[in-house]
Amino acid sequence: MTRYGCLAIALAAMALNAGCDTEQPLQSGGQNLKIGFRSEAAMSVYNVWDTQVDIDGDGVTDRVLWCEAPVGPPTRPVDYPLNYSVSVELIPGGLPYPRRLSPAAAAEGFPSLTPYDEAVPGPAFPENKTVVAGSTTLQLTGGREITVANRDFIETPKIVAPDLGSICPFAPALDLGESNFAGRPAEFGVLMQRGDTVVVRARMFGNPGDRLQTASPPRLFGVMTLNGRAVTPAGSTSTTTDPGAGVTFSFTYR
Amino acid sequence: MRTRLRWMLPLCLFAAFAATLAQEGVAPEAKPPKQDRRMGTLFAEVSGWWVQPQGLEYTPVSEDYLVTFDSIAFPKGLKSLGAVGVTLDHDYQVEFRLKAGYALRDNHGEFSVTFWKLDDESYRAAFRPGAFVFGETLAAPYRAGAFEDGWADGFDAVARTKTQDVRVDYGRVAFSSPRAVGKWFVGYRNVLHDRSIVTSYYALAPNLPPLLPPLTTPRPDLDPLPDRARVESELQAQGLEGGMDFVFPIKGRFSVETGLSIAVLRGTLKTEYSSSNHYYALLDGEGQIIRILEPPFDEFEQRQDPTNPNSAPLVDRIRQFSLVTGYTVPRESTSPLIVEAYLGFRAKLWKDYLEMFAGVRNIRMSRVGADAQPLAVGQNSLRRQIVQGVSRVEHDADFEGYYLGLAVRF
Repeated sequence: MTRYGCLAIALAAMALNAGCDTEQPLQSGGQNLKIGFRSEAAMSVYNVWDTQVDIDGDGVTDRVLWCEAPVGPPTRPVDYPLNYSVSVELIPGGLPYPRRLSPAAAAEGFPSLTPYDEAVPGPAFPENKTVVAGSTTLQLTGGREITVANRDFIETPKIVAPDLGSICPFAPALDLGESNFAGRPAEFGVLMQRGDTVVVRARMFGNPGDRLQTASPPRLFGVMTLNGRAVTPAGSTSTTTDPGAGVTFSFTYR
Repeated sequence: MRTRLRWMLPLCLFAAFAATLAQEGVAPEAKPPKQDRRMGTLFAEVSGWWVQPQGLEYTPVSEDYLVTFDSIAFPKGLKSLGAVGVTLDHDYQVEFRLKAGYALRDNHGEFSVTFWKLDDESYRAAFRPGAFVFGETLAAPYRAGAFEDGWADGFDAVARTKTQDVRVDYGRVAFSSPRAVGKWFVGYRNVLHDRSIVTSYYALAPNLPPLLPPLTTPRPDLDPLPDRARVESELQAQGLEGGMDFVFPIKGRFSVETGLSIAVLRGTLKTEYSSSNHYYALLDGEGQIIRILEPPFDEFEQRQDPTNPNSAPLVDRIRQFSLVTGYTVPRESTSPLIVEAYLGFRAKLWKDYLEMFAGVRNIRMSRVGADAQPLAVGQNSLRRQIVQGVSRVEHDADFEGYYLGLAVRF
């Protein structure tokens, strides 16, 4: 009986050994992958001041901007608020089936927006001054040097009166909305397990330069960080400057 | 030659040993048996064979492991130049082996029928999205791979092997002594052996230009479809066999048994190959193909009128097509060789009526399968695939494993 018992134990051990062959990825702690998009373009630089003018004729004065040429270079490469469509997919490790992470609406109609130029404004001299515009005397305050891609510049009405000295490129206040990535502020986070792959596709707005009058056509490029450290995805992360150009890249956490 | 010698030496020693035992053995004085008026006895054996197929050589992909961080073909640290073949592993499984027969009395011989079959399925998959390191070894060599270079970033493969073996034998005791009993047998053997492998090659993250608005509406139909290949063969063979079984009584109810049989068969082999690769083509306004697109597929980003950025996107006229290649040899003659050997022990549990037996059995089947695969493929004027050359590789099959069973005689 002992012999049979030994044989049974040996057979069971061999069966167990045969059953432990797998290539499934090991599950370990998740890693935080952050995906962001930026756009860069050469933008006009202006010295601007705040002043109060009833620009819409409602009897209430509004804060408007007065623009003058800067002392330094007239253009500067800065972040440019660019609308884009985006899609983020996750291919779980060990599986060939992608799963969309970003909302479907993010791939249509360009709801996402790259960051504005958030550089700290430079100084403009003098900080406060008075200008006479025809029969009106304007008190200019808070002089500073900003680019057209600055959110304050975009969302504030401007005085376009080259003859009087304000050379703002356009007058209306534009509301481009909050910078966002598929509805999330700034960056899109993905919890990655070993073997997971994220595929990112994006396409920028058709003719973005028309709105803000860029000095050079913008391009869209993606940035990825894993636990705060920059990683290099497969594929190109940067579009061309062609209107409506797109980009696809992927990253696998190994 | 070395392989033959490896078999011949033990066989010669074994035959000499058996002959010696037969000569020196003296049958013990025994009481006259009870008169038995039956012509013979029925016997049956059923055993579970814990068997593992070997040597089937399914190689669905090669791996360019030099650029792979986590190679599946090689353990870390091992060096090799170029791509490495990735094979499928086969697990042990339990199959039943049945034997039944009728033994005539007074050593007039016995008739027996033996049957076993095996249905093995093995699977392997690996996915490295974005890393095109898997060579599509089974795909037709025309427009294989998302970039038409024959590489994929993922694959899955399912191989199925089905074998059925039926023997009808007549055997008779050749010599008998207290230390050894030898029995020869001859018979007829019928073997069916089917092998097939189906492999899908993926392009999971080819990072093609994104098909998002405003260029176009989403076009999931332009996501790269996986290339697929199927290679299979079916053998049906039958012929004569012969061999020897030996039993060496040890002590009391226990004995050691061993045996060898060789079968030379003749049969027909059917081989089939099919694959589907994919390509992108630009159509004209009437849906006719103007040209086939080549990587990196810049056309995905272009406009129909390159000078007008507001014209319709060119991708609206791009379609993905399948390229099916097939090749079949419906019937060809083949001559498989089968060698079977076993070594085990046998114990009587209840007089001569019930026995238990166990041991190890190995069956080698030579030339029982073949893979036919196109070497070159072209297209005729109707865009149909023309196979211009075929490689044919013959395959063997080994089945080895442990058995445990019961035998009844009545």
